[in-house]
Amino acid sequence: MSIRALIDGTGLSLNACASTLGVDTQIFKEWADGKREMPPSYAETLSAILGVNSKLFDSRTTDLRKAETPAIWFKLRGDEFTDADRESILLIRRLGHNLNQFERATDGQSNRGWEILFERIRAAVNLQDSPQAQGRKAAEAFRSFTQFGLGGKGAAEYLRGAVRAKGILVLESPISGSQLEGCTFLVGETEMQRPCIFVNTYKSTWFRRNVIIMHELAHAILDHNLGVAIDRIEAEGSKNSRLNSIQEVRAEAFARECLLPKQLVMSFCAQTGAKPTRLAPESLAGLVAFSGVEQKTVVALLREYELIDDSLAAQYLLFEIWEILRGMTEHALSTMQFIERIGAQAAQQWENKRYTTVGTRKIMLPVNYVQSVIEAVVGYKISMSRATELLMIDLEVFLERFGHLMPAAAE
Amino acid sequence: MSSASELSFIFDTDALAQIFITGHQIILAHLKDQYGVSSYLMSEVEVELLSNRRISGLVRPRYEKALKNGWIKLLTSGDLERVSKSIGIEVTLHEIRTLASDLKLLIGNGEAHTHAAAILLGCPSVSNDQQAIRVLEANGKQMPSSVLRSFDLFGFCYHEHILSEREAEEIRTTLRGQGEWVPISMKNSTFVGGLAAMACRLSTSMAATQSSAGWSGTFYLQRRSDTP
Repeated sequence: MSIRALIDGTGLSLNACASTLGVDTQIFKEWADGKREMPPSYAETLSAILGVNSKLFDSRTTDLRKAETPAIWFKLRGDEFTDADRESILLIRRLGHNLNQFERATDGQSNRGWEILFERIRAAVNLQDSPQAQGRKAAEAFRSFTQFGLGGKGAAEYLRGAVRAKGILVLESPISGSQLEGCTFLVGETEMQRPCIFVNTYKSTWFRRNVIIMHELAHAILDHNLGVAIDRIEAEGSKNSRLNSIQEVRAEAFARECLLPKQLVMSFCAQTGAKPTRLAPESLAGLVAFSGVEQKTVVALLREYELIDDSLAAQYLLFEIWEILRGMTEHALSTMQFIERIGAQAAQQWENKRYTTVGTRKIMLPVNYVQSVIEAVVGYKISMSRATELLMIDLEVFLERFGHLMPAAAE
Repeated sequence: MSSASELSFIFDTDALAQIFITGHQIILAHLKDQYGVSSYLMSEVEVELLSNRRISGLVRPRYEKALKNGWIKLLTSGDLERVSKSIGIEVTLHEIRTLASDLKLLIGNGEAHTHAAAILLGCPSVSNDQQAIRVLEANGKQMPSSVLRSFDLFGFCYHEHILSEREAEEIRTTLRGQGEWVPISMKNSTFVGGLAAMACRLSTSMAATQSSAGWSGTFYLQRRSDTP
């Protein structure tokens, strides 16, 4: 029994693991087969990204036969998931480990603000209530403890910042051809683990992703005992097929209540003079832009709040609002339209600069993370070579992307 | 430093890669035979060296040859025990890795292990990443007593007639051609033309010692033929 067997159990390939660590495949195979000892620094990173204790890789003290597949890989090894799903998650888990390390380097410790927040929210929820009531109560607690959305207007604009400020890793990146829409799991070394929320941006809109992020956040808070939650893309035309368990109903209620509570709908109507029963495509688009919530969910909420009936809901779902929405918010623009809006020069600042090159897939790193790493190099808090590890890119790529921002190399 | 103690250089990936790229790994043998310098690398550095897709094809056979001939060695517990005894300070691999895990929050994994070993063994590290050194300095971290660059070794070997002027110039042009780091003074000059301005940090003396100028000061080697 060997590291190879442990990795086989995850559904990952040795090549994917080697590539994610930036290690030659042949060397990694020798480690995996016990022909060569894995240096402890690599064992530490591998254990963090696989989600096992690093002591497992110490051949002197451990028998790998005792190693069982961690929850995330147990769930992901099913046939409904692809290699692209698993390999992207592997990279995301590497990012989680890197983020912990980066925060230790720059702040002395990793941000664990989420721990207290989650505990307070859990304490506010009565598990004997209906799943919907549990989700709403949790949302109310979340909004109260974080001041999220209390300004009276749509909170989606600063949703990501609010979640990240609590030390939660939020990552949005495309995985083409995947059925994975969103998921949440713990990342980082066992003693420094933190929640990570991943949303697949492939053929998705910003408005949809806002709902998914909050849905996954609810899983992270309320379903922590599972360690992992994975949501797949609903088939076209299906009616809430996902909402078939307490966990899913609760998470969806949380997301909706956080992003578009009834008072926000009423506030929008009061400000614009719109009446829920007489919405034109323009006013429905206005409500979508105002809340940052996709059309389908907005209409479902109007119905849930009993502001409209079933027939009006069906009518509103047929409204073509996308073109109108483009005139209201840049979040509705395509990439090309957005670049046209901000100008090619401004677009170049981040264009193709956030993709990783290490690993068998590419993930797009959050802007604020890349920016913080670059600032740390410029401020001599970390070295360029360290930055390449944290950004999961080669040195040549780093210099090509950010060389012009670096301090002049000393002799 | 007593001339009886074993003298070690700990190599980082970038500096070692340059030696193998140029094909002049024999200088490691000269350092050992003529100046008593044992060259070591940490296993993390070996992984980086052999995992660099751009150069590993070229470097791997040369590295394996140097390893086989004993010109360079992976630093093991056995080596540490011997070197420790020689320098009178007990250092273990665990201690090196503990220090490296602190340094590697700030600098690359290979260089963190290289400098950690050099710091604890009180010997020079050989690394071209001066920016990483500046980062350690800026963050108040302990520094190796001496940090040499690959070109300090090349310059030293030129002065000691181990490398001819033609070979030294070939080294410069090969590395330039590969997009590798070369000292600023040699970018638009010949090897010999730029050598004086580079302030070579490795020289010879009647005893192996180092200047008090800190990590960038000159480190002096003693020729074995000069040993009384």
